[in-house]
Amino acid sequence: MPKSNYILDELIDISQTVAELTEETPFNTPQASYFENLPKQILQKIQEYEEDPSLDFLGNLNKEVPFTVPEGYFNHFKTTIPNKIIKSGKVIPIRRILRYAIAATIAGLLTVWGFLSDNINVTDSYSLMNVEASITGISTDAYDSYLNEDAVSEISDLPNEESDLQSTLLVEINKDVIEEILQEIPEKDISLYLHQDGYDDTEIMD
Amino acid sequence: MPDGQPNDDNELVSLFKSNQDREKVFTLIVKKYQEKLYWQIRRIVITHEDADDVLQNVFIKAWNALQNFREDARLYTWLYRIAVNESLSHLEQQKRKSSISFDLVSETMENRLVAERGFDEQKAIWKLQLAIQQLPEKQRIVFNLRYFDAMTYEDMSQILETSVGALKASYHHAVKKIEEYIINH
Repeated sequence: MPKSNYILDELIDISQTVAELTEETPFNTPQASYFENLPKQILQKIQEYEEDPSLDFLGNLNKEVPFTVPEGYFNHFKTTIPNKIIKSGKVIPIRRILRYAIAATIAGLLTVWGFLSDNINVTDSYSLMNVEASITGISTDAYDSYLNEDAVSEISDLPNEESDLQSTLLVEINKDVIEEILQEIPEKDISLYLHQDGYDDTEIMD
Repeated sequence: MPDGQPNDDNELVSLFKSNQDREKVFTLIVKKYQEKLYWQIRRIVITHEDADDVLQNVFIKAWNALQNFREDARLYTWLYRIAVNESLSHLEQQKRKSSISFDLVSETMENRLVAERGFDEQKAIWKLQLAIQQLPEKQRIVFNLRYFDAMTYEDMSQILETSVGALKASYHHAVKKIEEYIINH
């Protein structure tokens, strides 16, 4: 029987090769009269089944398991497994491990948070509250004595460079010391340095 | 029973349920569907002996269940569904009986084909059967139903309880795999 048109069209779209194949099946029935006799055979079986329901055609299969087990295996099985459990290493319950893991994670998060908090500019309200709390207990006399001890003069808008410089240096600097240092450095090097920065010799300080 | 032989499925089912000449009515059902079902089963199980066993089981099950058959369903798709399920169950039982692994199933079916009378791997008709045996089970059934029985996807969907879209994809893949096999062998 030739393929119907819609089947053929579909096959051509997918595969020309398969579309050209035959739709015949190579199998044969052993007897030409197989289909003629089949309905009678089936009804006969149905009748036998209805007369004797114990005949289970469909369940009439060999349910025997083809595998074998060594002799005494199950008897040996009962005693070996408990012994193997006792001899095995310490069993740490998974819940305990999980608890440790959670605790470690929380500790790690707190550490990171603490680290990040230290680097935050102390202007947030919490820090201000702390400062405020710490200075509320200090008396006005203490403030006055603190201020007088340091003898800080009027604060000007522009910083006093010389005094700032003096306060940060380890050695007291004056003109003689500067000259002494410059004498130790060759003139050639001084000249090179000045030219690098675009300075003229004439601009060297006296 | 009327003189004219009823052929309409609904009519056949109604007559069977009315308990009038059930055996005669059932004989008509068997004659109407035996060949279609046999060849469909044969393509799955390969050998005649297995196909015969499965086919008889299919009709015995149909006899037992037909009294409760819902007439909104179609007899045609209902019988096909029983046939496909019985075929696959039969293969499953044989697999368990012989303790063969899943990988060897395809090889076993190939061997059965080779053992068939008149087998000739050079002939396209046999090459196609060998190619079909390479397919996964579901694809094989989809291909057989569509290619040999010209079944619609809607009918197939009722038999295999799979969506039309999935069936179309399955058929497409099956055809491509068969094409590859035919070209390479």
